[in-house]
Amino acid sequence: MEKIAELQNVSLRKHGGKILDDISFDLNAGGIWGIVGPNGSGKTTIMKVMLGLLKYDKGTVKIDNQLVTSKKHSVVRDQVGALIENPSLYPYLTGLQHLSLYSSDKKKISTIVQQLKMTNYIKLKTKLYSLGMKQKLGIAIALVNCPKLVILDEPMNGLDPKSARELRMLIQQKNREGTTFLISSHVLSELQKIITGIIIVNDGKISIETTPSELKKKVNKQVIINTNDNDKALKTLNVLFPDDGLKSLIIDSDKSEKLNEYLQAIINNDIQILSVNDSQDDLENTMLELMQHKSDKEGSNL
Amino acid sequence: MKPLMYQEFLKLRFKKSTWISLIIAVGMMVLTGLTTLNVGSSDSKYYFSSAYGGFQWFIIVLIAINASSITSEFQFGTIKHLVIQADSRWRVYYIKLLAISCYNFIGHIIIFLAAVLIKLLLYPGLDLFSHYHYGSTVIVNLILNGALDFFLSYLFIGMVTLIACISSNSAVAVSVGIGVAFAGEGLSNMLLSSFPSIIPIMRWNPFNMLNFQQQFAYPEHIHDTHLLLSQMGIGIFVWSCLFLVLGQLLFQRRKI
Ligand SMILES: Nc1ncnc2c1ncn2[C@@H]1O[C@H](COP(=O)(O)OP(=O)(O)O)[C@@H](O)[C@H]1O
Ligand SMILES: [Mg+2]
Repeated sequence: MEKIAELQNVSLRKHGGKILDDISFDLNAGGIWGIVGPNGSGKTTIMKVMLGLLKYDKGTVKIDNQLVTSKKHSVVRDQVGALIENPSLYPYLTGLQHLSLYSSDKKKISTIVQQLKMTNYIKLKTKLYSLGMKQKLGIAIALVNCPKLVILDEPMNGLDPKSARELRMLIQQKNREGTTFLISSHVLSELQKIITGIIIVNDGKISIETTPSELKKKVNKQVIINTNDNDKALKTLNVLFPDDGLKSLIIDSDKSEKLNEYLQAIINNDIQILSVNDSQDDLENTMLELMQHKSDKEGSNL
Repeated sequence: MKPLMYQEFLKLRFKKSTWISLIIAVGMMVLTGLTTLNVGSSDSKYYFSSAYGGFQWFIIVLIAINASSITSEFQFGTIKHLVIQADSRWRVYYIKLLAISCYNFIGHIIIFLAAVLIKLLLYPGLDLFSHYHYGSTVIVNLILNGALDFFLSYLFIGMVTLIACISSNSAVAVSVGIGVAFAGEGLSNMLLSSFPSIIPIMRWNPFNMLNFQQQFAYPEHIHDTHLLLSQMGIGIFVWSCLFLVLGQLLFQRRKI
């Protein structure tokens, strides 16, 4: 598959500390890539390196098969759109003037303004914008020239839930039209519905590179049964299914196929079922668990 | 994407302070013109040929515009877009300086035109082609003064740019620049008269070059500056280049 970006063994030191430590990953063209990690883990730094805004000490960064360094990055100008950290705007210019700074195509400008629903305020100076409006304009600037790769650093920041949903839909639409995305976030949940690949960074290192479905397989789903007499229900189940060794009414995923039998048994014993719930274990927790797991293992290696 | 130079012009054009400060400078010229209505013929020639103080006012405007045009890019974070588009940082830096130079040039033209206008309105008796310093007419003196001021302004552009590249705050660069504009030459003159032993070296200090126009108007000023007019010209050129190149190195290394 065609690769839009390749990072090989990229390292960056500042003031003696390692900010990026041997980062390697490839982005296949056509995907929506999420880069997820806690605050300060190095997401923004990785993106700045990819844009040629930061000098790196070791390794190679390529975009569209061309080397990117802080001295030379014409490929970034031609093929990449980006929103890094906060939207960078001139307070004394209007949204429209901003877009016309970065694009000379009037049609593209009006298309993106409509797609992001910014028509109402696009002719106002940006010093009058709310955080969400600024964020949208920053995203519009990244998208306006229809670049091959769009890099968005925490784009959901400051967006209300409705705008965040609209942005996710826009990202998917642009992706269908052929744009590759690299999107960072410190919360996986706002990305998990749309991304096709996840890069998890922690402490300047890549800890996991996977797909959402792979990650989902690792999710330990549990079902919690709640009745009007939980003790009696548990006793009943232990009598009827002594081999299952149930210790509570929280049923692990490996026994989930027996859920029907369990529920039947409880009903037959005149116990009233109040609720049957999925446990809250989601991708977020799984990711944190995996990261924890990994750093434990590394810790024991020392 | 529009060329960077065009972007710089657009930013200057849409920033209100660019024009308001120029209007204020012209307003101050009118005020000077009004308060000096009753001076004698020789003095009125002096005020006209020095553009009613307009060049001095414009230097302050220039310092402010210059400083904010650099520091604001870092403050707003817009430097990222510029660097991505320019492919290398030194180009961003020199394109900015070029835009400021254009503004500088246009500013000087406007000050010149305003001076002529003020003369036509307030001093109908003053003949533009009457004789004044250097065997030239008053109008030629005004043009010469403008040209010298334009040349000297690069010393300010160099200094202010350098400070703007170090500090994240344009107020610092502006205050230092204006401080130098008002007190620099006095400081240098004091230094030279207090420590005559270090004159051979100290006369080359950048603040001494600020006496350029003074010495042009009053050649006897050489006793204070200890430099010929031509030596000062060389000094201005060398110091300006030095400041600008140093500014470029700092600009390139600055975190974005
Ligand atoms: N110029 C710099 N000098 C020193 N440390 C830096 C610099 N830039 C970033 N860092 C450090 O690098 C780490 C990663 O930062 P960043 O990439 O902004 O993380 P994230 O975007 O994931 O929150 C942080 O610990 C931060 O303090
Ligand atoms: Mg960040």
